[in-house]
Amino acid sequence: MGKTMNLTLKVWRQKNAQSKGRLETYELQGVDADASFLEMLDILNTQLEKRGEEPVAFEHDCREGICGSCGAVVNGQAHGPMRETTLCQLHMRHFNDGDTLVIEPWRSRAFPLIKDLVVDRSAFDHVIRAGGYITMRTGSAPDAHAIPVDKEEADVAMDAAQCIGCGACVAACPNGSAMLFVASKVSHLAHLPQGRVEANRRVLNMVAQMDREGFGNCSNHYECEAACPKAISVEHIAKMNREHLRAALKPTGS
Amino acid sequence: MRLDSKVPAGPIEQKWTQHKFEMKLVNPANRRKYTVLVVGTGLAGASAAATLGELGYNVKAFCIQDTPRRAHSIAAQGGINAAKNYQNDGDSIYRLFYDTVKGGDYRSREASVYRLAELSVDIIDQCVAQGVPFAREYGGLLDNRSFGGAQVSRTFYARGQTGQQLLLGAYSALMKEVQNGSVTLYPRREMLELVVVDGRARGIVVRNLLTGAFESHVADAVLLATGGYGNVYYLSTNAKASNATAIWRAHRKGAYFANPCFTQIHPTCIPVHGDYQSKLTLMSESLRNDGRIWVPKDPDDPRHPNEIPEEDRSYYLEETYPAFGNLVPRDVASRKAKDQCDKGRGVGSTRMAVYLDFRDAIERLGRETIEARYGNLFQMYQRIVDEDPFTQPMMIYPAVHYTMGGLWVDYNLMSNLPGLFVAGEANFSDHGANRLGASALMQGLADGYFIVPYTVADYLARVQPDRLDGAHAEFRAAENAVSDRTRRLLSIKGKRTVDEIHRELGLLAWDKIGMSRNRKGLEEALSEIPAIREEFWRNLIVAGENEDLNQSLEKAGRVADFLELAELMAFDALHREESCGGHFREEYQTPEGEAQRNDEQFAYAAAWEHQGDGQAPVLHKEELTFEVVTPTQRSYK
Amino acid sequence: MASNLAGLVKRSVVKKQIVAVSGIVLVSFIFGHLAGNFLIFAGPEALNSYAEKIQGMGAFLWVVRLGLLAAFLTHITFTVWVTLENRAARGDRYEVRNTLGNTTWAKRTMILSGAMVFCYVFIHLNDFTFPEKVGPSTVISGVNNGESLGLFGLVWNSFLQPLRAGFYILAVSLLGMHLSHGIESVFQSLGTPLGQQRPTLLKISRIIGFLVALGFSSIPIYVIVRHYTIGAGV
Repeated sequence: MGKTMNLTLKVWRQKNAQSKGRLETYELQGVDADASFLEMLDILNTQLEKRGEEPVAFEHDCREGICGSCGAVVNGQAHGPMRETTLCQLHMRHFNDGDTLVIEPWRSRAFPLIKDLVVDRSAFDHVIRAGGYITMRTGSAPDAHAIPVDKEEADVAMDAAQCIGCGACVAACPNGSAMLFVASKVSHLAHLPQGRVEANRRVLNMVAQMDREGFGNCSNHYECEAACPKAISVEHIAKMNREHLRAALKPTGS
Repeated sequence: MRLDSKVPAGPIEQKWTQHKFEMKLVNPANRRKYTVLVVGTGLAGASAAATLGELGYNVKAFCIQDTPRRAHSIAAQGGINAAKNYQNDGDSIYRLFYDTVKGGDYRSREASVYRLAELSVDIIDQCVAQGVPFAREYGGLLDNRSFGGAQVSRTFYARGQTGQQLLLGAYSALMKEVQNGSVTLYPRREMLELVVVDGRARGIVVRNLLTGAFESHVADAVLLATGGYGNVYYLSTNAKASNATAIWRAHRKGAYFANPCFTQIHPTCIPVHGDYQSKLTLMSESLRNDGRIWVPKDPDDPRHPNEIPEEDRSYYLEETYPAFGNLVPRDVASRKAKDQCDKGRGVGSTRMAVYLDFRDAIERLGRETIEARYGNLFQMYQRIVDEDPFTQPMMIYPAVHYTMGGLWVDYNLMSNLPGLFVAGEANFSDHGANRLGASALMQGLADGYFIVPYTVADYLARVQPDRLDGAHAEFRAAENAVSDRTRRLLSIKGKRTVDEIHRELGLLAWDKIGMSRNRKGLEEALSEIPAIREEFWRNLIVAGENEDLNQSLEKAGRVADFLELAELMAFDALHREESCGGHFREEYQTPEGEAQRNDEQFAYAAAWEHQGDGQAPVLHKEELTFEVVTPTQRSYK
Repeated sequence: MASNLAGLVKRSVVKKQIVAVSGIVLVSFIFGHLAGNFLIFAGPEALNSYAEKIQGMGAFLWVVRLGLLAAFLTHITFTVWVTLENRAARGDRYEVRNTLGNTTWAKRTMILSGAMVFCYVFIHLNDFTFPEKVGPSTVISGVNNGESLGLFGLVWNSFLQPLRAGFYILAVSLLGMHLSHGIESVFQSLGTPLGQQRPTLLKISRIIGFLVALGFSSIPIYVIVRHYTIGAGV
């Protein structure tokens, strides 16, 4: 065991979308500084369960920063104060003994609250469904080496493709915009020759769906980039803007 | 009973091609009339659902997460094998096949493994066409690396996130089919029961994790792609929600469970650091390509690792295995680390770790090269351990990672229950007693994209689509059973949380059914597990109610099943009186301490049939015949 | 695809691009306006003849004015539209307001700085554009034998009123702040690939914003300083 700390937690508790939520205060003693943020919440939940109270609902799965399940706003910051870090990879050593931590769910109209810190991010699936793929059938692919891909382009595509779909970009955006999420997929596929073929259709459909889901517009605050655990650059948003402009200006039938 | 693996006749290179021709097809116009349920949306599930959707079947895909993209395949780091021989280093389908059979310590089915190697090349083509951004060279062609002891470079990778990129590729194909209307998605659903009607798998009952509703889904075929059961051990590299409930429920309904004791321990994980710990983090074993594993010769050496000179270090793998050195297979590397720690030579605050040192590699290749190769892994390590691997050795320890066992399936990936197909880690196939690195992704995608779509069609072509009703007595009974069980879990109102009991089970499993096993320990496990199970059903506390998002309730159901599965694992491990691959029985080892197989008696897959609670399971054997590869004693000296 | 123009205009990305393009028009005007304003340093002759030349453009002047008006109205309509949507999209506010450090006060207050500049434009037009450039307000005592100095005189006298000068400086400072984010935003919304140059653009955008504010502010400051030192006389 490393050093331990005492914390005051103010956690958003809300039974469901219909009921009213509020911050509940909990005192937590002796948390190991080497514990992750989610392990700290586990400790809280064990104590709550032992007292016969309902544990705090929060999403989590891989706990190694790749599945994109977890996420909460800690003291007003999505995924907490560390850059390029999901909540599960945030360790308590980055906080101080005696700190008060206010823990809230992602807030955005497009992410309706389900319970406590759990929100519904299915809007992301709807956007991908609208075009976040390459139309091809299993088994129809040519040899992998049939089309060489510029290494630098492939690297940029990979930068964008790293998105884990956690939703921190939306949570951190003052406008509740999903531009970084959508742009990461648009940019990933637009940088590859395989994805270029239907790039116009893709960007138009995905942006249209993004708007239908009720996400906000981009005002270039770039809070999304700062919140992104994979440090996906707003450069990809510029790419999407460019792709969309090109697609929108392309005359029908040409 | 001897199991019929339905391996087609003919030379091994021809089997699959011939079989594809011989299998029946379903008329395109009729495909909509068949409903296929796909449970799990990892690599195997998502790729199967997408492909079946493309073919025109009515597919329903279920996952426990909020979206299919979060399935645990996403966490695979290192890469995916394929016998492309792009590196011109002597690889071939035959070599990949051979390596896989040998790596699996001759406990896998030759024909299935050959098919896997054969399909590996198609997977890469498929994924590239989908837009998976594999690493490339400046000429625009794909890059490869050698992985986990392979002597050829056949591993394709996308930085340290290959699983993520492959899963997102399969997910995008799945979403394309959802958009096309051929696949319906059911996220936040947990399969709690398999429904068997007239001896055929005809549907499932799921719990809607948001509302608690029990929903019946009727189908003509059911595909389980729900992953492995490594979370029996509580601490593993699996995701927290990874569980065995779907396959265990199917097992209780008659599906045979094969080789449950074949579990894989991954050698390069970040060591355990506290009792609140919720999971173990794996670092890609590609680290072993350049890192050197050592422990201080003097167990009580008080010096900082950087200050321990060469002559006081024991590079135990390099010393014991001069040819393979640090690249010995996973099971060997893991067991040797445990040996060192058992001898008191472990390092770190818990003394349950060994050093993995990059000092020499950094000196030889430069910091930049090492950073390019392992930057994200180093970062991950530093984030968790708070130490910089560039300036001091990493500490690693083995952790449960993968389960080779699973539901028994024939060559068509169909279990002994007609209509129940099993793909990916959930089935027992292909890896034998030990899986090679970068082969899990390959198997998941081979099953999902290229095998199941054919074999499910063949099955469907032989059955008539009939309109079974969700109100059928078997469905009603299944719904009632899961409802009763759920209410029972909620009504115990004891004193111990699910995690506490799960942790207790995990410790026991790790000690007695873990990296090395012996008769005494296994017998103890068999007597202690029922006691924990009893404690669970008597003293569990689950807060909240069913009609709500209730994560404790979800966990409770899964742990209840782990408590039964763990017993079967111990049972299987006890019965297999030999050492092979990941199953190391201390009684059966060579004088040098290597695994001692017993091909005379145990060259079979052990498929267990459930007999009811409190009854010993019945063993069915699938004899393994090796017509192409001659079993030899594995030696990595 | 372009056939569905009405649908496209509603797209979030397109709305921002319309804001960007109308912004470019307005920024161009501002640069031109600032360049013209600097003629005040060259004395009454230069400024007045420049103003008269513009007034003499007749129909073309109206084309430009209407164009500007259109850009202005478009810019406002779309930003208000976008802002209202953004407010709605945000949903519930966080209990703890914080940032991750990429947003700035200037970015968060774009709609406010824009609205204030908008209001000031009316004051500005009322002060300098609409009034006849004759009569007492254009006369600077002791200069030009008490005769009208046209626009020059009007400007001079206005800026000698502390309130007017103060308002002006406040307004152009807000304008500068608006541009410090606005210019950078134009590039982003139109999708300029910047790569490693992104931080440079950010800096340039801020510098331009600052220079615009400084440039405009220099006029009232010049007037006041000169008036109370060497006077308006040539």
